[in-house]
Amino acid sequence: MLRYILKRVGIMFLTLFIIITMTFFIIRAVPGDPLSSMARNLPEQVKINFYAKYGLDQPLFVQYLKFMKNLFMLDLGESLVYPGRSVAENIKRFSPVSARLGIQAVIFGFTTGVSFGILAAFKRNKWPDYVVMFLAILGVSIPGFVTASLLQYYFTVKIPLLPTTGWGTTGHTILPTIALAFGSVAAYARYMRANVLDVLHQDYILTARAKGVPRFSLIWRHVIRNAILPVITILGPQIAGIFIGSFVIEKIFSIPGFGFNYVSAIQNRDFSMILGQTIFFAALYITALLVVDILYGLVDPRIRISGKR
Amino acid sequence: MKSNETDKTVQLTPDMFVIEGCSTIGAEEINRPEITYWEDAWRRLKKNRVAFGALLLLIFLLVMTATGEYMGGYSHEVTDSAIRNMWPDKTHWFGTDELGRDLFSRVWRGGRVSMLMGLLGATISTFIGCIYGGVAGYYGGRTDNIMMRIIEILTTIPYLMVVILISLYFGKGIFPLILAMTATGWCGMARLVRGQILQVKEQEYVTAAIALGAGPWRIITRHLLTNTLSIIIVSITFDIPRFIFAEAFLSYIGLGVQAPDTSWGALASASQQNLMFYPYQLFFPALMIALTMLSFTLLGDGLRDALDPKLRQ
Repeated sequence: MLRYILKRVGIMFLTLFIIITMTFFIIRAVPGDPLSSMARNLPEQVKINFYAKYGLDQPLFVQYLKFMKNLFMLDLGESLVYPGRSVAENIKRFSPVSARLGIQAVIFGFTTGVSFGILAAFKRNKWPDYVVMFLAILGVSIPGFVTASLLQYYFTVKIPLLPTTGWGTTGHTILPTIALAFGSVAAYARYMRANVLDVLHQDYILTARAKGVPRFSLIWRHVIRNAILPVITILGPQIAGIFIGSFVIEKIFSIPGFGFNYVSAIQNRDFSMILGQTIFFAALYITALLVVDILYGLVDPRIRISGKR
Repeated sequence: MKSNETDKTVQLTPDMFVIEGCSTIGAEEINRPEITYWEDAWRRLKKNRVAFGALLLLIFLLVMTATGEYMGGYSHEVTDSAIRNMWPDKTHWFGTDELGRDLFSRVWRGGRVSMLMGLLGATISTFIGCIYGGVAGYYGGRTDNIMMRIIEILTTIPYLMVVILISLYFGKGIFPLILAMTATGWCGMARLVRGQILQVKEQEYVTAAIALGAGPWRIITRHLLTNTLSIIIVSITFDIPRFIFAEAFLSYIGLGVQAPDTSWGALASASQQNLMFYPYQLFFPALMIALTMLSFTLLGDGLRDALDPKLRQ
């Protein structure tokens, strides 16, 4: 198991290194001057000073080495559009908001989805099953931004229960959390339902029943515990989806989070900001995937023995 | 004692038996017309009402995206300030947008871009994925190991990053978008094909074919490909909506198709500012995305049941 983790961490660092290098050179190769998004007619000397300040006058490879050296000390440079605003500071300021939203969405998505799945499986071919399956199909066929817009429209305009946009109170987090988790609720529910139905046909359930295990304990200890295990495998992709979904959701609900900031950096062509945030995002994303994989290895003894999937 | 008993019983000889009611002639004959795998799959699909309905809906959507633009009699790009933000009525079936453009034409025009993205994206990623996965699976061993490590690294790169970087580099438009979406989009297909080839390669009938002297070409075309094809087809039906979804998402954050061209995602995005007053502007493109996703998903489920003989009940 330890070897497996070490190997995965090694691959993770390699991937991260590739991403950083690739991002750096692509960003530097993007056609267009970083100055072009700012004032149009700058005197020549001002331009030269600007390039010198950000080290853009040096050869590309020197810039790369310098960037990597700074990165090692967690210095991601300074915004090109807002002078004096450091990229790292910016990330530190905006991330907690996104983190809260993301964690809430993951928890909400997982618990709701899994319980819906269990409900549907035990009430198979009865109305709760149909309702859940209908919701699941809706969840996979409606884009997140549509769900978000509809929620916003109904719960703030038609029935003014919750605040429309912004950030501050718990009330502000409810709609974005639901919108963010909607797709994954559907995925968990579908998957969990299939798993429970599968487990119910296993021989050990018959054995447990024959032994006279009480119904509650049978469902809880034998059915759900076994059915929930494979769900962890889709936790990774679902978390990834929530990461990416947050870009749109934060924009719709005007939440001052990481995704909102990232999209505006792209729109402003703030290259140093894009570079720094891309690296941060990639690192976080890869770590999340790794944690899920290791978690799966820890709970499933079959993987622990063979060392790999 | 023993001989005594045989004496008592009647001697039975074959000529004492007569076949009653049925004859052996023709017992081995196949009475039903022979059908191929594809005919059988088609028959199964037709029987599945949900999947068949999804197929019909999909054909309808495809026809509409191809011709719908010209049906309403309005151009998708002519603006008219006299009829801005009109609710759906007899002349403008889906209403008009904030520049007075006919939404019916725009929705189908945008749909063409979305569908094209989905189909092209899926075709390209299937092509690359099949070759990559096929090579990895067929050769196996070291080649396979290295090729799979590469995929492992590619898939951990957040997909959105790739798209953003590529669209920053190549600019916005349909082709940079397709390039961006397929850049790492083929990995899933490659994994799938590889897995399937690895599995089929070890089957007894392949060994039998080798023993009978079949060459590698015959094995690849008759056994490996045909047994992978059904899985590929099913995967394509799930891939197409994935690309449509991705395109909608990218257009939504302003990295997708640029005006005057449009797509369902771009239309939905444009409606966002007016949502509180003109919700119909979001409704139609969103409905089309949802219907397309739904029909592809249901058709994919149906195809999986129809094409996989192992799942037959």
